[in-house]
Amino acid sequence: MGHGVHVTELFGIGKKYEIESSGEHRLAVIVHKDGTRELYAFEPGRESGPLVVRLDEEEAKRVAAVLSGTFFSD
Amino acid sequence: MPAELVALGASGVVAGLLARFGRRVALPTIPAFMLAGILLGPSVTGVIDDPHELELVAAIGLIVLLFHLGVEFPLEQVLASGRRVVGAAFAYIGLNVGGGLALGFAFGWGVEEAFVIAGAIGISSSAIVTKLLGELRRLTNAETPVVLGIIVVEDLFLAIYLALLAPVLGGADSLGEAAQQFGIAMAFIVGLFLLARYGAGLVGRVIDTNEEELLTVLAVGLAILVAGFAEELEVSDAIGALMIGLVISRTSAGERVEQLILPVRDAFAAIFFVVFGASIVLGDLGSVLPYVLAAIAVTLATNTLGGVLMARIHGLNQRAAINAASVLLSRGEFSLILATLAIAAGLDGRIGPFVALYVLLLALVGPILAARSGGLSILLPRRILGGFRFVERVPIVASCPHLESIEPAAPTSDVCEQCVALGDGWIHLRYCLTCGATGCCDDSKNRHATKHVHETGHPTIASLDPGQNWRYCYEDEVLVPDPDPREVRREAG
Repeated sequence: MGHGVHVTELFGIGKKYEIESSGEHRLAVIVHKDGTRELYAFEPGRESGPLVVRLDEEEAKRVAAVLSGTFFSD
Repeated sequence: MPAELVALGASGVVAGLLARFGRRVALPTIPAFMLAGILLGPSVTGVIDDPHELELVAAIGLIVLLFHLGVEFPLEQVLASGRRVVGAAFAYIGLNVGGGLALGFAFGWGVEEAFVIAGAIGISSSAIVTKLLGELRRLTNAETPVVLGIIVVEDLFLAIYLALLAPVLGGADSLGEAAQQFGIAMAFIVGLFLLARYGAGLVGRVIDTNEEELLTVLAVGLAILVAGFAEELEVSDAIGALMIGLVISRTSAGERVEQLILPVRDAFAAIFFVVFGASIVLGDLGSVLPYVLAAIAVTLATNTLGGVLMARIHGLNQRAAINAASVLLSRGEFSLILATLAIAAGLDGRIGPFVALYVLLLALVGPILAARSGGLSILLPRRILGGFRFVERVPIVASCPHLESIEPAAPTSDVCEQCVALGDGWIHLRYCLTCGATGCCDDSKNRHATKHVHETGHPTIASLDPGQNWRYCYEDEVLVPDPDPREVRREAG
């Protein structure tokens, strides 16, 4: 199941997940120890100055539900 | 009593407010707290009339600070992270502490003082470095896991260094007494280490409970108790707190204690930093300025060298080296802890203001340099990281689709056949990951590796030089370091 995702431990902070994508943006997610998630999106070819989206655990689950197609609205 | 309460309360409020304003000029919290202490101290406003009144509270701050460090210490992960990270960490620490020691002796304040200065100059502030990495959005950088590994190893080094300094800080008068105190300190550390390794279950049964209120009371009490015992044994309370934290981290209650202790730590540690500041006489700061400037110069030099070494060991480029070096510049809690212990041991009075001013100035300079490190990487000549000519500005990524879609070929030869046929030499060798064809690098005269890429359209190459395990993709123009064998296993599962 882990294909396309590289996991690195960041001591004292949490885990870094680098996600392979065929699109032009480089993606990574940092899961902090306190449950906060940060989504990093890099412009093609650029190493710095990423767009960073900060989500708490609840928000992350909501985004995940939408992305995975399991979100239901009434 | 009322005076102490007011002093204590003012410490918290002023420290907090000053730190809030400090954020606007990118000043980290620790030096802001220290500044608050200087302002509240007897040499400025005198709200804290006598810093010794708040000694107990400050001591608790030191204890809980180190206790938390021990509790969150990722011991197994560090040991599992491999020799390269530990190697880079030792290189970094060796350079910085070594440089500090040399400087300490050069100051001529005394042998014991030199050792304290070595530690105060040599060890980065884990708190500030971690915060900086997050603020600078560098958590996904290639060098960040190594930087974090370095600060974790530094924590461990601190424990050992404190043991080493036990005779210095305990006031040994003879070599025999010094050896004895060092022996007791090491025995204490080893004893608690063994407790962590084999007795964690027992300790867990004693303190673990579902009720958070009780767990907090037990954990804080235990930390202060063990620290107190350590003091009684003439081993620094700092070591006691750190080691018992390590013990707790191996118990079932470890993770919960780590969370519960945080607010306690933040509240009391702030008082520790404030009281340190309050014990500084403002007038002394001017007289230590030349020493501080020398120390900063040494720190800049040893840090940069350490960053380069780290990059060499891990196969990273100049950008990563400067990023790491500049972010690791910051000094803070450990330097202040060492200074506090030194003052308590009655060493040269200049150590206090020296460390205070040093930490303060570096706290201003460090974050600024770290933010500008991209531009600064131009200053590093290519020679130092030889063979990385085109890597200077190239992003390093974890993977690229072209690499993932092929079965990497083995190199067909260990020479550049085309160069040999022409009678030419080469500098470095590369081999194509699609078909294995070996060619010379872009620094060489003929650049056969790149020619092969253009002729065949095979996009990826790897370095054939021993110790260099990176791959390069011409399509994406990215550098991909060889993955950790452990990561590959994790991905497969």
